[in-house]
Amino acid sequence: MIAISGLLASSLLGALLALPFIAALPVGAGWLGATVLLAASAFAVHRWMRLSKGETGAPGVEEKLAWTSLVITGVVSAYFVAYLLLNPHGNRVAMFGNIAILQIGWGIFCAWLRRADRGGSDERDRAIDARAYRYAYFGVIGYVGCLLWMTFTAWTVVGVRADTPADLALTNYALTNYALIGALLFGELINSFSRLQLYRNQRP
Amino acid sequence: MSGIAVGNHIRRLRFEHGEMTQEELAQRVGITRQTVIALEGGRYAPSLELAFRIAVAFGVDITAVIFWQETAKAKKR
Repeated sequence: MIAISGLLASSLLGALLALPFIAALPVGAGWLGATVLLAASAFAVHRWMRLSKGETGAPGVEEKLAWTSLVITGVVSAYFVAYLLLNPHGNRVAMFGNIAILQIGWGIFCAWLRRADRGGSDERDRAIDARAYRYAYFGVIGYVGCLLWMTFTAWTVVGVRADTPADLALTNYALTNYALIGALLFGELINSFSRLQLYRNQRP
Repeated sequence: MSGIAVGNHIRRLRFEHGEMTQEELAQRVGITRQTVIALEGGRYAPSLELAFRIAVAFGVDITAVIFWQETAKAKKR
């Protein structure tokens, strides 16, 4: 349940960052999102430090990384989809720039987390990792199946205009790229969500 | 123990060995404290290698660490 709440909150943040008035701000959405995530990370680290003194202990480093992965993938996925829907003719370079800022910030935080937490990983972490990757694989297969179904049933995508054959070719090219990025994000979402669920509730 | 066919006496063994902390046991056998918590809570069954390492850490036979318990899930298998 807490993993779902985390996913919803991060998706909400991602969608908010894609709002046109935020895109128009002088400070980029990527920096804004990174600042909010930095504040959330400080709160999480403080909470983990308090938990580490208790009976149940703080989550291990791998579980912490699964949390950060779920949050950043939720933010980026929601931002990506919302930006394409809300800003059909928006600046794509700026969009990917913002995503890059978020991802680099996340990478730095993960590196710090690994360094600060000397717990390391063990056989349980590896078993959970393997199972989560299996779920992610099936998820991506399902995603590709849905895409194929959408292609063959003539779905249209909001905000995509193709007035000339050249536009159409460009549109198809762009859509293919977006679909591939979507597959990566969807797979990572399932992977980190499964890992959290396995850490919290189930046996690997 | 919740639904796992392999039970363990790790919590009892810890207390019989001078109230060894979870962290100390984790360090001795090379796992994380979270895995010790999961083992004691019956949410994770150790591998044979880990069970042997825990037995060596406590200086007991492996059967004093883990045991088979009949659960509805285990009976189905």
